[in-house]
Amino acid sequence: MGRIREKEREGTKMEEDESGVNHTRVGILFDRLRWEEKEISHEFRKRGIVAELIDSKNIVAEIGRPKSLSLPSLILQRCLSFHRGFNLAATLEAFGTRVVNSSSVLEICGNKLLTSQLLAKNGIPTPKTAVSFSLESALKAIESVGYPCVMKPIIGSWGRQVVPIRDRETAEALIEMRDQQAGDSTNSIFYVQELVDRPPRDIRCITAAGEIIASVYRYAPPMSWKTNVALGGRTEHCSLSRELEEIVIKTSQAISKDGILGIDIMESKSSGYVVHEVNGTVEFRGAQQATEKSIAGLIVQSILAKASDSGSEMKDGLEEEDAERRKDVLSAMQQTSTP
Amino acid sequence: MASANATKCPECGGVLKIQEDVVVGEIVSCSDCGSDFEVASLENGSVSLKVAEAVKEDWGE
Repeated sequence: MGRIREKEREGTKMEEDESGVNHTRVGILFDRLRWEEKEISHEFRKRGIVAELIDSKNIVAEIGRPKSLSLPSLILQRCLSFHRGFNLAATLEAFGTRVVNSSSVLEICGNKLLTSQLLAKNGIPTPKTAVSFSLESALKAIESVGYPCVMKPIIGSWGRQVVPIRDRETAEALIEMRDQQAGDSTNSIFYVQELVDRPPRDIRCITAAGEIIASVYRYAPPMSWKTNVALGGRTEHCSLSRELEEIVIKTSQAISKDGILGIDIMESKSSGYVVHEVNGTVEFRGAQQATEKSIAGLIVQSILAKASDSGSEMKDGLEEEDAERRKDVLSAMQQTSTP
Repeated sequence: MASANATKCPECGGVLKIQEDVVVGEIVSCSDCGSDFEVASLENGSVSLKVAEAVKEDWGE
């Protein structure tokens, strides 16, 4: 191999040999290796880059000593655990590593209250939301939003502990239950949102560096009002109107210029499109079932394009080559139960 | 698609199918008892498993 020269671009150390071949070290940080991480790894490999699969559970970092870790200079953060992913991203960033998504993006997306604040600040339509910080004021927050509404934990996903509240009796019972749940300090934070009157679906848009790379409808499974694919919801391709496209791009750019985001939108019957959630470690197995192009491929392409000018040489033709293999894997996965 | 190898489920003793292209860190589930295991290592075609982490309240997207 020829002599390797280093150059700095956008905070990422790129390494090229004399013939211009890219030797960038890339890592995929995980705590539970899912289909998505394997697809991303595969897409890097197709582009001549071996992405190191790094189990976050094995990392020991000595604070103030970057050399205590020998990790790639570019890391794609894919931990399932919000706290683990966020704190690890912050740790690696302090060591000079470029992490996608960054800790600041993960912090905003992982906390529904911070997400709501950022959406409101940027004039992005979002459901009416109130928050209170004690049992005593919880009922007031609920009634300021009005019935029906939904109470959600500020940290959490997959629709867990999301409870619809249709009257004062339910509200009082829920507050009492929260009072009796020990051990979770966020139980005294009451995040309340209007229950949006909408069709039995929402829209998931995936963006990379501010560009929309996939958009699907997510339909709630039978007998459920939650559209999360993790709960058995199904997906269908969604063609975006100009209005929706603008909302999604505005949301994406407000949160991160180079991040990979999953933006969830509801079609409110009274107020039109409302963004209700932005995901910082987006799952896309469900979206892929309704999307022709490889979402993992587009994510990798975006990351590499941002990291180096050589990213523009990525081969789109590889898409077709792999479509069949992806279809096989997805159809096999559809037959297995979702965790 | 890769064919499957089989090993014994550490929990119930049932047959645990493991794909040939499995990688370290991946989760395999027992179709008999539902237990989840993480692939801890792969050496010379031999797979070692450990009990997978249980779902935590901060898991998700």
